Amino acid sequence: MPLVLVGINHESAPVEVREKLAIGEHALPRTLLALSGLGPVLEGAILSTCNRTEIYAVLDPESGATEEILAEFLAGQHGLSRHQFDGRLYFYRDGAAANHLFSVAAGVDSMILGEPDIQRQVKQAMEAAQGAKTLGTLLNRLFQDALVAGKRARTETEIARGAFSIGAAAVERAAQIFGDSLEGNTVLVLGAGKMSEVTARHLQAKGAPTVLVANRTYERAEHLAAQFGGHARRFDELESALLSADIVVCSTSAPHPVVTRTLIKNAMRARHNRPLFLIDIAVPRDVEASVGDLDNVYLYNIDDLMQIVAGARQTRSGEVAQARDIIDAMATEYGRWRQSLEVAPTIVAVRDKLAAVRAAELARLRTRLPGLSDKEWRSVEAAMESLTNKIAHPAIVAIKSSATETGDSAALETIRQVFGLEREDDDQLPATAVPAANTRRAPDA
Amino acid sequence: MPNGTEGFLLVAAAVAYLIASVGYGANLLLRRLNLARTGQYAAILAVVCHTFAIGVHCAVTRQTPFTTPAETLSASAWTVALVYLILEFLIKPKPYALGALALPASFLCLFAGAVLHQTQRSNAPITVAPELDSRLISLHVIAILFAFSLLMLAFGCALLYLVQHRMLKRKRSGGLFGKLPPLTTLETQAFSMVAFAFPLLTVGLVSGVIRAAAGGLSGAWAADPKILASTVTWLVYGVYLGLHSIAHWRGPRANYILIGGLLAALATYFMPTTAHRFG
Repeated sequence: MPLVLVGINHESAPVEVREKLAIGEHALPRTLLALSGLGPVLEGAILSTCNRTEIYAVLDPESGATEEILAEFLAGQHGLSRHQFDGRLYFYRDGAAANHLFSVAAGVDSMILGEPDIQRQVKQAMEAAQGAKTLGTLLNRLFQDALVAGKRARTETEIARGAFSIGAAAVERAAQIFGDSLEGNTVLVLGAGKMSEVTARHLQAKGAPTVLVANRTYERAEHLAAQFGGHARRFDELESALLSADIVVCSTSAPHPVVTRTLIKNAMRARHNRPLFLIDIAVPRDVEASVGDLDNVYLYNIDDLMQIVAGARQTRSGEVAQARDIIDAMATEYGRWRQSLEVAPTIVAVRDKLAAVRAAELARLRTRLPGLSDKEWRSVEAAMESLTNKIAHPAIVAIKSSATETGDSAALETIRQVFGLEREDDDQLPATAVPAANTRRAPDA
Repeated sequence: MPNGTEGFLLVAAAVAYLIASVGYGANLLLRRLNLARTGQYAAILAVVCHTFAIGVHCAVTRQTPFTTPAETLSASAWTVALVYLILEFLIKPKPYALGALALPASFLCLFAGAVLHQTQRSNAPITVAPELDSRLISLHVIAILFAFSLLMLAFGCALLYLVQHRMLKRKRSGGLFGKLPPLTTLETQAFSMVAFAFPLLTVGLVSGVIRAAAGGLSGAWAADPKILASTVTWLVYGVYLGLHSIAHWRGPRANYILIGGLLAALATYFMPTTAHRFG
């Protein structure tokens, strides 16, 4: 069964394109159900972060569907045409898809090399798919292995050491506006997401004494504000909160900008043009892009901060190579497991066939040799079983061996012919019907 | 450049200004504190040498050190460096980035003064204008020199502000990014400097007007281009202070006014004149 992946990420598209295909936390269960409702989709999972939206699916080989169906689904979910994203989407298949997810989990595919947050996001994507019951055997193992690959890459290599985070980049910029110490500056956290919390913690560590938190859910705002020793604000108090804030960290899950040019323009007048630093790490963006054109307003979105991070990223090719070795080994192991899973029905069929032959021969012998004692009969049965096992053994070894050789189904077919296995078994043997593509197409043309 | 002890001291001051410029400039690019310290020591040495040179000049000529345009340039170099060093002593964190602009300005003023001195010497002997005998005129010149120094430093702050602002808006890293003072610091410092400079400028201009009126100069001085230009300069800084304090102008617009203000001040210096004379 083909494992396919369609995605868009920070490398293939800027945030203004990426945000159009973002799938928020709240929309995820509904989207997963819609995905599983597609006829050819047997399993599905969605990974949507500020840097990427990716759909992983196992397709029914009989349907003849390709990854295009996922591209159309992804665009369709946002009421858009798939062709609006020509050249922006990437497509991976089978081994390449597995390798990609393992790289993502390990932080190798991230702009912030080895960033820790992606591991949690991969786990969340897996749990969401489990919750929506769209995760089957293949994707479950894929995501489990991805988490192991991520953990191994971080513990067995130095990839995560010295990672220059979004929070650190935000602090660096804030220092250029307000000074090295942010004492006397107020931070406003808009939306109580994990990323905004981490960024605000960086700013608070530089001395920002007051933290205000505004969130649609007031209780969540209170909870987060208590963690910072700050104050909670209701979302409709945003205008007044902007008067006292110097740095605003935005990461709501709102589908449209909540911080408009008019809002900031009015706020700047009321705050006597004191500089305002807006950090918009939400996807879709929370702040209208034109806000950045206002005097004394400095607006940085997720891509801007990522660029800074990439610029500061040290060349750590050695660590990347080591992490890639782990990823490649695990992806190969996953591929083997998949193929062994796919040849399992043939092994069962061979055993069943020999067991049937043995049973038939034993039945025939019973009528021909009625004088055998029970002890003698058990010896005959044992001998027959030993015989069939010895016949089956090299065949099973050959079947398993064929599973390790990508695309080599000749041995499997020969064995099936030798043992006279029925073609209807093929319904249970999708691997033989699927071209063993280990292909990658990214981005699409 | 004058000969003898004064000349030697001025050469030493010029060399020290140059070393200070290189020290502060290198610190700006490389962020090495020892380079800034080198600049600081060189700047102190330059100001000391320059002070002695001015003292020797006054002792020898028994005149104020700003009787000619060349001397005024030299005195400007001294006041700019002196005011910068005072600010460096007072402000924390140290405004070393501003030193990278102030000390080269001092060096250039001294150099231009020396060139001008050579030209004047070859043309005609120096005669002291009777107006300069007045203590009022000394007040006029000293107030304007110190005001100019502060405005020059405010211009430096505004220039650094605009560079920093541009880099932040363009989201650029590398180059000078991370090496300049923060925006709010530059804005506050620029405003404080203008706030101190403006009363000095006012005193300088008013004392000049009083001296002109008392000196029997006819009403023609009021229409003199240099005097008109100085009025425009005064107005520019007055508008800046008003907009900053009352209309809360901040950011690039306010800093562009400071750039315009210094250009007006320089234009005033070079403006042709009939009523305003050094000698």
